Amino acid sequence: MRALGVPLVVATLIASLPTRAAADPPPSDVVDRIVAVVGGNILLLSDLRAREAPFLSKLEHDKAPAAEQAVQRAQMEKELLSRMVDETLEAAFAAAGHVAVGPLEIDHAEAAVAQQNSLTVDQLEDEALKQGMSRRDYRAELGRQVLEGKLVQTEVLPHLHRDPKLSEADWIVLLEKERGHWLEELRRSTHIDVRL
Amino acid sequence: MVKAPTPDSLPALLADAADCGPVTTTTDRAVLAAVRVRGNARLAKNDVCRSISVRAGDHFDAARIASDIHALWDTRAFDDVAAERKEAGSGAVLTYVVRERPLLGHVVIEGAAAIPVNTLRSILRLHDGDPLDVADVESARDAIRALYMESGYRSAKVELLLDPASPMTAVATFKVDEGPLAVIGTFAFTGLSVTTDKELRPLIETRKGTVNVPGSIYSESAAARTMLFVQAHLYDRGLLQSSVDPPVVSLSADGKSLAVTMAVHEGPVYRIGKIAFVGALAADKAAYLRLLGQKTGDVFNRSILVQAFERIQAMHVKLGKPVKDISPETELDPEKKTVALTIGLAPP
Repeated sequence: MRALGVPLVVATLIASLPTRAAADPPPSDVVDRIVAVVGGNILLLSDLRAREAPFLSKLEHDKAPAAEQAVQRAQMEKELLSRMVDETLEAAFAAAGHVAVGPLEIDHAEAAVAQQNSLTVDQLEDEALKQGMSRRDYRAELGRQVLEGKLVQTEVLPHLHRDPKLSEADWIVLLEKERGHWLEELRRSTHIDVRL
Repeated sequence: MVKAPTPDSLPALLADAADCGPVTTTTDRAVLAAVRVRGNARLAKNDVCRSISVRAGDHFDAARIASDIHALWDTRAFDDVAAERKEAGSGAVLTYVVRERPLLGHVVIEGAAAIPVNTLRSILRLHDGDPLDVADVESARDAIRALYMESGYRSAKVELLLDPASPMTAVATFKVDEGPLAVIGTFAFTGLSVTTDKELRPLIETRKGTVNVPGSIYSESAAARTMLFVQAHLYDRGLLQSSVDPPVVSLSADGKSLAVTMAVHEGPVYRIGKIAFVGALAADKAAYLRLLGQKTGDVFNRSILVQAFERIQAMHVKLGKPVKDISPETELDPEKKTVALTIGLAPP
């Protein structure tokens, strides 16, 4: 089946604790902390962990050498957090403009993805679960994608003129490029502090 | 990115970890024996604990801890919050580690001459004594720069410096480099073939000749209104697939002259195809067509259509059958370059 519309980004967070002498008191474990500030919003380590969960088993199955896995994880973690920052920017922008995604819209999106993959909605959710993503998490991911689509409609498309000679693939590349510019402008105008 | 100052003397002021409420003893690793806060300097322990819902004796609950971190952040008193867990002899201890924001001591604006300092202060939304939020002071810097841009100082630069004034206060300094006043050299439309520069130029919003004309300053907000006026005009010329790009503004090397270009994408001219009236009709089609003022084969004109709706409503009122709404539906035929009109009349 096709991918379920989630980025193949895997990240694992291993708290790096300083080495201590035997006489020192036992170290504290960081339970949760701020990993990014986006305008007035924060992203927590627990948010990052929840988002990386679906991909952990896939990475474990790859069986790459430990050192290589660690490098991959660090890179994926960085990319995943960057995506979460962008989603937070988009969500704040949408909220300011009273743009929202309702449960019915997510239902429709879920049905469409199921149909594309020749599955029922239940089977689709089972597949998501096999990848470590609960029904709630999967629907949240779909909600983010629907919102992204709405923002492309209102903020990106009006700035583009489609040449009739342009192929569908080239049009998608152009759309993505323009969306990148729009996001870059959002990032530029917002205070962002990543604390990985 | 600007960082909030963290004076060297700050650690000496930090309070030791203090318990939020009574502690308990437990051998159950899932139950918390104590909940503490650490890192508060200016704020009293109880002020911090007030935002924390977890207490000794509660089960360890990651979702509640995340919620507490959000609650602490939302107080705007801290610029960092973390939660740590440590196993002690009497059970697990959960500690919320906070880092307080310094207070904003005062705001300094340097280098402003063209715009009075008091005017700049009035747009800052920063108040002495408030916890210093880097996002807020960065927004203030952007607001100063935006005001300079709108006032014609297109090369203005604003630097923000945050310096510690005391262990728990900071000074925000905005250093303004105004640069020269830039005036418009040219304001041009491109992409015109059906319409002409002569008919679009009067649509430029100039605020009585003070902006967006050669020799005056450039106003982005006035240009945005101009885009709307031009777009409306294009619809009146049957250019139903037209669009207008936001202006491109180019600054000369010396920063004193601007070239403004507004690109227009006209597309084909659409003529009216079939016309239909549906819904709560009160007269025959010929009567409606007379009121419409446009007929099949005419170039589509949005303004004429809007005026026609007022005439149609007046006729309905005269006949004692007012309609709630008149809504046109348009269907474009890109091959024939025609637009079919279906005008719906909704009963009250």
